[in-house]
Amino acid sequence: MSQPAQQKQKNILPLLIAAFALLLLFYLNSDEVDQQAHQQYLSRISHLVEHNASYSAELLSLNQRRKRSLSRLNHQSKELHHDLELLYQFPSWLDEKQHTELQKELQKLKRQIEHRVDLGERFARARSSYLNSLIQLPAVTSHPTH
Amino acid sequence: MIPVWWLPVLLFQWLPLELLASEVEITPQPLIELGRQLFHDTRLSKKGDVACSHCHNLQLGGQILAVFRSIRKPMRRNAPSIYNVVFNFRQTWDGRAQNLAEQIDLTMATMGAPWQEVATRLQANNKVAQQFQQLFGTPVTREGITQALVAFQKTLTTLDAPYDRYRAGDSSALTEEQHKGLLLFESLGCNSCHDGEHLGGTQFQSIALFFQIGSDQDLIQLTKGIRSDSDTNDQPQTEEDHDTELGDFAAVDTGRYEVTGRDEDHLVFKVPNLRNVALTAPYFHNGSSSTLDQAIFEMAEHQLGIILSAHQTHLLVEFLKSLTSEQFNRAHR
Repeated sequence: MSQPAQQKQKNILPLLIAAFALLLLFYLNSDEVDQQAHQQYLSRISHLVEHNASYSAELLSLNQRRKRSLSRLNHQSKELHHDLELLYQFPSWLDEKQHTELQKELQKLKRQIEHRVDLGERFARARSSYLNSLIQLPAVTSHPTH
Repeated sequence: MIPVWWLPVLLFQWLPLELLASEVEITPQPLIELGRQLFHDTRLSKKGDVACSHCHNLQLGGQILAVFRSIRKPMRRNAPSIYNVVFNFRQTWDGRAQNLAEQIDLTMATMGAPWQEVATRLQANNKVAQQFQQLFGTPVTREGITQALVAFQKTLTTLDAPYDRYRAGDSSALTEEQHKGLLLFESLGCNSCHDGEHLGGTQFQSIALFFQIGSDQDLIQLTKGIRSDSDTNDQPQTEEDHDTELGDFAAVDTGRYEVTGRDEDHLVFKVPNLRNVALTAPYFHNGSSSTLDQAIFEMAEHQLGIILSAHQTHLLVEFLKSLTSEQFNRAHR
């Protein structure tokens, strides 16, 4: 083998070892990630998104008087809180720093959900008064002396 | 070469099957049984003399107020029925508890015994300690107690009233008067607030929508805490006792305002569900109405601005009786 070829081989060898070490590191780390737990966490996020959309749909239906009962709206709000609680069960491979970051994000999300549900509850209250006004006003106006 | 139609199959094989099923919660019977025991256990209270079941009597539609007075433990608010609470959108009269676990936490604070003390007392009992060990693999804990009580409360549902049979299509389930009462209930707009299949427990509402027309004295009567002046002999015995109460029960109870601090929530309370309402006197957050007739009459006046005739009140009472569970109807026969 010629001198430059040997030199070239000597240069490549450390690179190959480094690449191998990196791959080994990735491989070992990949073992720490539980794919099933990861998928489960993702599915919990999807559930929350779904319930959030259903909550909006319920509000719209009530507002347009296509529905009367608030039961479904309240059910969706309970589901939202439940989904949120489940999101606090972090996948085990996340480290403390990642836990803290996620926790901060979840706190923000919690405040938003609480605000949203609170607005929903205030809507429900105002709606009941409105519905009753619709019932009572004709009765009152037909008897001005009432 | 793999055919194209195989692609979805290949993709799905990577999806864990467990994800296809939702996370269904199944409560084991031993947990419910433990909850039932704890519900009747006086060790949960500070002096070891009161159990949950003393104020939420399971034989009487889940509620009784008189016991409060007999054990000289005045409370500011009326103890609501424990039945069907799982259907409520929030717990407690002012909705400060988001769920049953939070409600239990508040109730335990009212009963006065610190969690740690309760856990120690229960742990001292071999049978209870063993139950906790079997169910949770731990000694008695606050979380375990709460979980058991929640599991038990979730079983306290009564969906077997004549009204339920009527809703399911049995038109003979209601008497003629009850049916007329139902129509009146809907036409007057009672169901705007007492909404849904449990007729309430779905929203907050002001208790004085039409009260501007009344006198200030009436408003005070309506909104003050549960005690009247004649009850002053039942004041808490010691300062410590007083600290465990919810506050100054003689003062005006501002309801949800205490939770949110918003003016619009002044005198706002959770609308209770009406299941078994005929058995759960006295009525309202402060127990100010002792009979169903009186409660209905006052509700119509304060919430709808209507003065009901005696006949209308009677029809509404009859309808509300149709919300009584058959298990209580049988017990009263």
